[in-house]
Amino acid sequence: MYRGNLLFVVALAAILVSVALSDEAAIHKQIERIKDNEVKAWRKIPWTASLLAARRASEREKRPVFLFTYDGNIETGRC
Amino acid sequence: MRVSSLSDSRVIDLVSKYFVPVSVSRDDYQREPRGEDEKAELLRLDRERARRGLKGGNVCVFIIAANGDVLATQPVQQAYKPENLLPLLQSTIADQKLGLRSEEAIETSVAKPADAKPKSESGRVIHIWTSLDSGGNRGLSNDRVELTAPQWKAFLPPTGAKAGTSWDIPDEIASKLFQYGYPPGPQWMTKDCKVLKGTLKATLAAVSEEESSIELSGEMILKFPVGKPTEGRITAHFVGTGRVDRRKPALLSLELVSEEAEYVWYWQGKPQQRKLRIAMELER
Repeated sequence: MYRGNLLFVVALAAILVSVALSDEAAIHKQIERIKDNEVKAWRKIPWTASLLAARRASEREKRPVFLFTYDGNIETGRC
Repeated sequence: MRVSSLSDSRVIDLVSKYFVPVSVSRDDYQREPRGEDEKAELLRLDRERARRGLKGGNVCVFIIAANGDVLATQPVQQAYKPENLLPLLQSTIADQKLGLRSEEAIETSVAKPADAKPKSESGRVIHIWTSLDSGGNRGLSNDRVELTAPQWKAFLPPTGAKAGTSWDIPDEIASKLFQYGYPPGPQWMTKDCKVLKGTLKATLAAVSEEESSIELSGEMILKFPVGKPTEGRITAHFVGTGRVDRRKPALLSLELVSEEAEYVWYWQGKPQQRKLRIAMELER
């Protein structure tokens, strides 16, 4: 009787862990799917750290600055 | 611009190879404030643009000569379309007889990656991503929210808790995360958002000698104003999981994802609905 109860508890624990793992995997998959929507291409542009640094590089290289001004934060997608 | 012309491969190619590219946030939103010299230079460029009668606005492309003269501008209304921005870049390259930038020059001027460490030694960072499912691609928002040690410890199971035990995450912690559950795009002021409802409940799902796993569920109603007199509202139900190192104790992982999130706002008195997806993940 005791052995039977013990087996039942072990089996139940294994099922609970398995359900928890499958939930974790499913949630992780959903999150990765959302992250896949990120538009990353603009990050390939070799942006200079600041306007003044860009102006200095421009003078040094004798070539124009491409300045993009905006409101918000381009890094976080809030712009 | 970010998801349209600045992500167009032809624009990227020309901007990267022939120009010194820089982007400037006019309001330094979520950034360290710029120095006075930098502000003065932007003001000088704005004034020169206006003096020369060139089109402009807060969101604008400037082409600036090596001597500091403003050669041309293109406001976002035009520049967001690659077919408008490309001819401006091509004509500048031709007029200025520009050659390719050297790899060395690019290496010298390119910005170094920002330090992504938490501000406090015991803090933990949660990434929050949002994405609209319809109505044009605005990409993904990606906010970083730092939880203090007492805040992230609220996700740890109470001492001696057994599987099945549930506890509430304090509303102010849930709200701190939900505050960022609004869609990406040109309306971005987090401080304008108000969490009307923010609840998170944790349940101890399984316990082993070294680790325990938790399940999370939550509800969020977020007021997200999108211009007067309209008022946006986001409602979402969340499910999530986490893993806890029982020996330290510490959070090993934490993931939350929205189910049936909806964004509603009003246009000329009529409700407009969009599906939204929200994800949160502990930075490891």
